[in-house]
Amino acid sequence: MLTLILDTSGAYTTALVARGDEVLAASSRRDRSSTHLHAQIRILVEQLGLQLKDMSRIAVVAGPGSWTGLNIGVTSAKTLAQVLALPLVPISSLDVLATLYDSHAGDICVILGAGRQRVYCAWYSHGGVGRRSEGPAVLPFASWQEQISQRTAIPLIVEYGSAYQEDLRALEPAVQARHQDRLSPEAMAAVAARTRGLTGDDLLRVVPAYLQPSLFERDAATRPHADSGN
Amino acid sequence: MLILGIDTTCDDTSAALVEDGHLIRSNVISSQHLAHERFGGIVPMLAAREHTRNMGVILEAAMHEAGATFEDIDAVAVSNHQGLLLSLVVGVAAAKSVALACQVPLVGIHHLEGHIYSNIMGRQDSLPFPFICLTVAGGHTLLLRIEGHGRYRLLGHTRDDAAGEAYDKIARRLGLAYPGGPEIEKLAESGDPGAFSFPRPMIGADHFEFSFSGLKTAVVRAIETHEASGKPLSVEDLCASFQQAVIDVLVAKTIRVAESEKLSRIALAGGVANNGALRAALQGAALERGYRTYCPPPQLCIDNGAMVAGAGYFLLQERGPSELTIDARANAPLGAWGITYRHSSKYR
Repeated sequence: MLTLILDTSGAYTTALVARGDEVLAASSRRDRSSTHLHAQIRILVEQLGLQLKDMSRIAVVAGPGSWTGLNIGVTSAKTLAQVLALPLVPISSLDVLATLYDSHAGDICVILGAGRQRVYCAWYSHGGVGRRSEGPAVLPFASWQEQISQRTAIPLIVEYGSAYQEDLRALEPAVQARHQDRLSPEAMAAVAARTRGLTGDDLLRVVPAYLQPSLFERDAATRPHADSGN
Repeated sequence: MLILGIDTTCDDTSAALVEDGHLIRSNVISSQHLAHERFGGIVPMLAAREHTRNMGVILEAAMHEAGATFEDIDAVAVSNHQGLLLSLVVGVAAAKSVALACQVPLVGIHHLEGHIYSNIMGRQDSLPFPFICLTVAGGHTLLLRIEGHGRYRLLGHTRDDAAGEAYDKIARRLGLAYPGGPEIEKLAESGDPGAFSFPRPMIGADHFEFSFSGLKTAVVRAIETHEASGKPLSVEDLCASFQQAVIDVLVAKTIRVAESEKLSRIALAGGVANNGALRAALQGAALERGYRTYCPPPQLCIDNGAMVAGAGYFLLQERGPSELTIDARANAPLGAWGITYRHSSKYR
């Protein structure tokens, strides 16, 4: 079963083809605007001597992550699945990162900068995506730090991007922190392989996991009268 | 040739199927007005989110309405230039995906070309080149000489606000429902266009440029003066007077430019082309001089996928297919001669 997997959730645009959880080929480039995503897909599939119609499923990292990146990735994957009549497999960026540390014995917390001193985070017990214990959620970084300080066991912090690299370094040695600048193709394939595909109306209902309203909506909620223009 | 046209330039998600550049087999438009209404204007991030949510359903609806499948599509056209960048990228992503999956050509078009071609496509009669095109919307106000497919000459544009932008800003100041343009037009119908003496900026100037910012300020000052004095304000009179000032300028300049260019065919395009008073005034003034005016049907004046598919049909033959790496740009030069013009501040 071949799966085309797309990731535009961060600074890198990645396309890969996997058979089960085995990565057959991957293409990744630093491209926040994802301008080359579709060309990457075409070249990748051609290099494998395949056609898009040979795929069995389309998977996409549905978030959390870059607002515009997720819109591009989810729209692209949904449309490909829709046109090719294939199941769509939405996967979590945080689950993908946790999978990298499946063999870690203790708790893992995966975080990602959410802007304005906030983080997206999810907790995993004893590593592994199958054991997500809390989240995903979005909360102020200070609140997250408070949560960490109350933990008796030292968790492994995995940060996607490096928005809080300095802050996390300051927490050492109370925590161990690692940083990932992109999602690994192998981890994406592993998560996609164990995630159910969606079809029909369920497919059409897939939206990015933004996890929070837009900046404007958040600001408007605190203003008596909103005005978007001049 | 069956072309899928996609437009996500601003706050409407649209997909359409058009055959041979003329026969509209479907034109599905999903408005986001309700999502933006509470903010009094378009919120770009919210618009992008709604496009992402709606795109799949809109594509399904366009196929269903046309009685077609994705396998029937011969090419995909998409507005990739001019608009809200966060919105444009969603339509471009969808269009590239359809083109890639169906293995058909992709053609990126400038959103303004869609408006221009809304006058060329689907006509029983013909609109031969060259002609004058006044395109008026929330994002731009332009006078163009349309020489041929993809070839346009800029004759005049606004130096500040677009005409539709002035409508929207005044409507917001009056607390009218969003979008404000149609609300002002409705109120103007029962008002006195001579009640307020608003300026007609640059109406007598020896060029074909526009300015609506000063007019907008004059209207806002009139509102403030009434508010300060405690006198009741006739919103109907105010809207009618403002609208008349806009129409006087647009019509006078358009007729003069037609005279200057020695062209007797004048096309009207863009969202404000739906304004009945503007259509009537332009038609009346043109008729007096023996000129002919062309206006698209209302569904082709607003942002829509059919005009994109129509433009795509002609421009695919003119320019050939686009690469899969075409980008989305909030503003970009228009046409083969790369003309640049002033956009609404929201597209800068």
